[in-house]
Amino acid sequence: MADCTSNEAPPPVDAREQPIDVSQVRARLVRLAVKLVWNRDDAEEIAQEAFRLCLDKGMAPADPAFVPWLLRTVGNLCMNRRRARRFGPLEPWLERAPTESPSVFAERAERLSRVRAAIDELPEQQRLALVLRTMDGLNYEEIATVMELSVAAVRTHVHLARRRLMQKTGDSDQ
Amino acid sequence: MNQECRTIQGMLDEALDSPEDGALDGRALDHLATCRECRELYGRLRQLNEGLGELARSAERISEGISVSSVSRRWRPLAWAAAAAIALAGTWVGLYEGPFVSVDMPRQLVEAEPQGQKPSEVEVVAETETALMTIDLRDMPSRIAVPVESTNPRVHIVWLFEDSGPGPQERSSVEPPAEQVCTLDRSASEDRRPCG
Repeated sequence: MADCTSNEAPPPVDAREQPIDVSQVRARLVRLAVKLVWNRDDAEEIAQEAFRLCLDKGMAPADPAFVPWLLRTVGNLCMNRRRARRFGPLEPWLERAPTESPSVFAERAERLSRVRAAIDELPEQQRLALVLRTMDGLNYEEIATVMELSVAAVRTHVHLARRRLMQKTGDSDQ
Repeated sequence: MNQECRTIQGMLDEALDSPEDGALDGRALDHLATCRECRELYGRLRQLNEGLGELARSAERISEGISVSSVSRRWRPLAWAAAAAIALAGTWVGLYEGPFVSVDMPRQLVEAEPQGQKPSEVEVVAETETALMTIDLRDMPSRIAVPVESTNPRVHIVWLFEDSGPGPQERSSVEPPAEQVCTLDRSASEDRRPCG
């Protein structure tokens, strides 16, 4: 049975006994940024900028807040940059099953492009919470640490984001 | 929508977050079985979740810089002219699962050695269909064999791909594995059988 008596705070994102591999953290930041801005060059710049800000702040990799702070900063930087350009085509990056016909593939790509556009129109906190939960694989406690919110607030953001996305993409399907 | 619907719909997010655990209990499943509105909502939410998963995988690919063009540069078909083989398509099914990258393959003439002829006496036996093929990037083997459609139904073609490496130098030719390639048997039936 899980220990429910502990009053310790949830572990920080990526907390581990071994030293943090900064190159892996950077790759992780780029991956998150791509999920928000859908452009690799922009994502690389954003990750670089986040590291620069981290350096300015004097934060060390050994700091438990290191990764959450970087993820949060990347999220904020992406929010500032996301309106700068339109998303590129999604098709070249989509998996295609061998048995999937071109027309079905095109239809799926179009549907996913609509989902991507709908994500971009979400309120910022809903968008970041949704991406971190459903596309980046963080659990609610980790997201709460990153976003400096309560777990309940994160759950609400994700819930509202899903409903709003479903409404937007569902309406356009009908 | 009644109170039970509100209660069940409140559980759906939890179910989406841990689908592998079967987070919906018996009460919720019973309700979904009888309530069309909640059932449809759950179906749409699951579909949305799957779409988000697909987007996540696409984003991973973007962040790794693995696009159609980069793969085309890195992977090139080798010895396809000699690979008018009778393919064991089932052998390669495993290559088609998991994360893929698509590769556009142009229409090409296929030359092969008629059975019993000298290797130099090759002739055009078929033309490959234009193909948008996919390559599994997990646990990438040193070679990949891909069955390809051809204009001649009696010619079964396997394209062999080999990692050409990061450097500018590429190998001019590579001998395909013997068990995967044989000369064209023009009298071959539709039955596929191993070479050799």
